[in-house]
Amino acid sequence: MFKRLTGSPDANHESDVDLHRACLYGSGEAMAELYRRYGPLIYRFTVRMSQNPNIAEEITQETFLALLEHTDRFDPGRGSLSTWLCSIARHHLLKHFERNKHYRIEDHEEDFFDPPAEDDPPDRYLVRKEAAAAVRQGIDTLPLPLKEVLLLCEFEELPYQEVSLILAIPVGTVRSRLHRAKLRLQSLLRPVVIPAGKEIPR
Amino acid sequence: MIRPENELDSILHQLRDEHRSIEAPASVEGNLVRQTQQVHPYNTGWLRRHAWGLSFALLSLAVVAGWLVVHTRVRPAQPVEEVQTTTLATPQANVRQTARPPQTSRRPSAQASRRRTALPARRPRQPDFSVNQNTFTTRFVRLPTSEGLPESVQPSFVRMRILTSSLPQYGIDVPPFAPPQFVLAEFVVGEDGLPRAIRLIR
Repeated sequence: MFKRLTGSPDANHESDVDLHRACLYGSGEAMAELYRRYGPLIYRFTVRMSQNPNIAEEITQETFLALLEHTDRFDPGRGSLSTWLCSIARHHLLKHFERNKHYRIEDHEEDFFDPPAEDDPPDRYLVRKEAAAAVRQGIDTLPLPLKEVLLLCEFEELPYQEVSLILAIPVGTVRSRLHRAKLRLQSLLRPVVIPAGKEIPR
Repeated sequence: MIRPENELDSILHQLRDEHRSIEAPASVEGNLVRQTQQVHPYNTGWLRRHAWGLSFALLSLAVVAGWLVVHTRVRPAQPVEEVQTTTLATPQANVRQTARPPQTSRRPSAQASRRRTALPARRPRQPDFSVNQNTFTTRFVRLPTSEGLPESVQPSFVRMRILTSSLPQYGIDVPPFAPPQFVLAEFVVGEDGLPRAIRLIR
């Protein structure tokens, strides 16, 4: 159903370790290469989570500086460098959210949402352009536990196992949160009632 | 009728492309490179390349310096231990010595071999039998082993330090419970290399 990146993790993993070691010896080129590889991932994740480019830039920088400051925390045997960087970025994000209490962190299953029924008539569905806007806005308003799973699994296309390591939750919890996030987004696809008889443009 | 699930999938696919188009800020890369080089000052190419060589060179210098200090330090003055060979000063012996051609035989005489083993750079020293205020000697005592030996025409005087415990074998009495110590003894040695007499020098 969803494509998952497989690639050749072993080769990339070894080269990441070599680059990390080179960074510890002060190689700016190695740090630049690591940033080129994983900087976009970290920045995208943090900017979508924080919805603030300045905060995202600051957290991204702090995440990569952790490579130099906390050398003993990255264990190549436990996971890839991208996993470690994402978990560091998430840690900084949570600290930022704790300082700014207006972010919605908890995910309450009892929150009401009305999933679409199979027999709903087509005139109840939004046009595609509006649907995309609704889903985009819906993603931004998701509770953080669901939002981060959706971003990592759906948008970054990371494997469930890697996401479970980043978020420190079981793989089953990753799947269930992703499912709940999609159900919420599905419910956003039919908020507007289109008058009967009007054709829906494709 | 388009099912919401398929519609959501297609919308998520579209949003995924939008999400992946977000690029990491280039300013962060510059900061990271600069901080990597600042945190580790050994980033200069020359110093980094030659760090191991410089360390090895310094270590080698330290080892050589330590060896030189140990082996060339000035030792305190010690009592005479080396064997000094002198020749009895007789006019005939002196003439014979100066007129003697260089030793060419394959079997050098005992006297010549002793002269070679002694300090070769020194000229034969005339024995001084005068009483020095700093040294005094005992009378020569004929050795028990010299019984039956022919009289020596050109004896040599050999000085060496011997333990007091070995004096009885030379016919010199030593107190029974005296602690063994080194004494300077002078032997009269004949041409045949056999000692004839001994005296102590203090």
